[in-house]
Amino acid sequence: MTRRQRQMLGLAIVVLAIGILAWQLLTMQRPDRVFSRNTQATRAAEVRESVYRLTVPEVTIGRLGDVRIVSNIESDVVATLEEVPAEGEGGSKTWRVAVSGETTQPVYLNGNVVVESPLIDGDILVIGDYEVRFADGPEGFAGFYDWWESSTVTHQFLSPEVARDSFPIIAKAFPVSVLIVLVSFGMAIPLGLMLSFMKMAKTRWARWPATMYVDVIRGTPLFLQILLVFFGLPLLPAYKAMTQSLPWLNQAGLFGITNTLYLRAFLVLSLNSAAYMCEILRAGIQSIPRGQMEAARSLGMTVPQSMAFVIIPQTIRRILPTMMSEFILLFKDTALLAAVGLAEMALKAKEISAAKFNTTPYVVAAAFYLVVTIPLGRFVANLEHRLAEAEGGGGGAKRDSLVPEPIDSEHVTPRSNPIPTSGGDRR
Amino acid sequence: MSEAQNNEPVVRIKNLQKRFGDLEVLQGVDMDVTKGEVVVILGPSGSGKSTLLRCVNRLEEPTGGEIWFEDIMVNDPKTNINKVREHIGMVFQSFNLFPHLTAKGNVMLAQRKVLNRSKEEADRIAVEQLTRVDLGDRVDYYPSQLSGGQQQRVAIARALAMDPHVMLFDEVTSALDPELVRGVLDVMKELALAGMTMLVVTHEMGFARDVGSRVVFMDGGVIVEEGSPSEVFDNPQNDRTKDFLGHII
Repeated sequence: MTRRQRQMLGLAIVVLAIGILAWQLLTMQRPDRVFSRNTQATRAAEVRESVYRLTVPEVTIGRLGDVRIVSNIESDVVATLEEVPAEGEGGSKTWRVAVSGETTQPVYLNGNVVVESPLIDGDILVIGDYEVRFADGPEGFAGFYDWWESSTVTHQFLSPEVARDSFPIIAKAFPVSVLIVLVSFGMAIPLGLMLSFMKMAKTRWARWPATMYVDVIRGTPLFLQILLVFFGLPLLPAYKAMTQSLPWLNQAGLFGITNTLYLRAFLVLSLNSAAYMCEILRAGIQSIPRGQMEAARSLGMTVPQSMAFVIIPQTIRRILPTMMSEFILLFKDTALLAAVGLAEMALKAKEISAAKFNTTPYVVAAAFYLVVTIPLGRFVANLEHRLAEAEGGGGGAKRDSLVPEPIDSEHVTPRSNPIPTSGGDRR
Repeated sequence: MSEAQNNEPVVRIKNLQKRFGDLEVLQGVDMDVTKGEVVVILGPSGSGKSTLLRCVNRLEEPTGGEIWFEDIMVNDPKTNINKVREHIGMVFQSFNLFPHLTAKGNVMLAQRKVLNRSKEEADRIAVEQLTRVDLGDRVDYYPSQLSGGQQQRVAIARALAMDPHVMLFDEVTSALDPELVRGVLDVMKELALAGMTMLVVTHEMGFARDVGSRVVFMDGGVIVEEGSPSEVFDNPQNDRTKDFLGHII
């Protein structure tokens, strides 16, 4: 069997399995009914009265004395059963279940009907134990939906209702995270480039500060850096003076976030990212064969010109994937700002979650992060592939290692097409 | 051949020394290259011939002696080396084409940035030079889409587009498949016939004999023997030259 056939077969099996599962779920008739659902606005439980009908098969032994519902109903919720006068037909009896009470958790009735026979001395003998079918429970999709919302795990993490309620609130905070990451990343690139040049400088007076900066920033948690900047900076007299002389800083800016919060967020994230960017850029620049710089210089180009038109363009191509993952990391790191009261997606999710006693908002926020990170990852993979093809034909992509390969210059082994364009003359 | 149309030296090298740490690569080299001359530098690996070439446009910093290009002292710290390099074309063993640019882009870049030529002019000259090295139909190819020989010819065109007064060739055919060497040597030969001043480090003895106006044999960081190709090849005086030529030919 060819690979393609195997793939097709595997796909068919998966589709079939999903189809069967979907059919099962959508045609299900649940005995379980959600009694109450939390409402978002009040935080208090909704009081709701539900009436269901249940049918029990005819009892042949003993007497149907008392019918109880055994369920997960919390203490405050009361379910009572009441016999409905028989409408004839096959000896089955119908009860009416009335449930009322107050709860913060969804409750579903999952009871058995217990048939009991009281004895002369007052003891009760349990005779039968019947499965109950609530005849009025919804079927099909509605039944599936109720089952989903009433089941603990699915409701707790993936409640459609909570998701619906939290979506617009988190969506409004989405541009906040995007703005912060775009500005911070944009600032981190020139900063990182500067640091990388400092690290590659000949004088130690440039090298040492840069090395120390990078080591310190990369060696400490971003969370601590955020705490330091957010709580430390406002205590500085200079910062106070600045906010006083620039009153707009204390006003709400874009998307309702105070400008000083933005300022500190940009500052801490770009300073942090610059340290990582420095190392990425340095590795990238140093991975460009020395011959490139020599060729550019031999044509009379200055060092800045050679950097700008020969080295950096090639570096960007090589480090694009790493840069993008740094961008993705930084984007995810914006969530840490929740801890210092910047109302971005994670903080919004946290607030909704606390109000609703439900963790679905976090999942919604996660989806918003994924909306950016997954397509970006795919895009970069694509771009990388295309650039590699444009540049390197077949061989280019594989040579795109961030680690410079030592190349013996004295006698480079003759190669057939395509010739690597690298290969420094190190003599 | 265009041997010494006049005696005006383009490159003068006086007692050139270069050391890497404890290693003395050049131990006092003197050489004059006059206009239109093709000087072929031969010698075993490690004899310092490439270093000599790289000192001429100061890709290596000499540790002693003087290098003059026309009336400029190349290794004077006050010299604007970029101005000097504009007039000295160099071609490398490993081509060193810019992989992110097309053949034309490679030839245009320095014209635009260094000579400040207009885009149209740089484009015109690039096509002209690429046609000259027989790559008129490959102007829009990226280096990776070209064979080694074609890449090396692009590198030659790139250097020629700057209108250099002298060309340095550093083992330009050493990294090529044997069947691709021919095309590159043909281009170099045409260049020599057109009167270009050239300094060529090579192992191609045929080229040295046919095209060279002077052959310099180096060993151990000094010039051991020099003379016309026929003198050096047919009647070598020095034992080391004899030994080397004996092994090569």
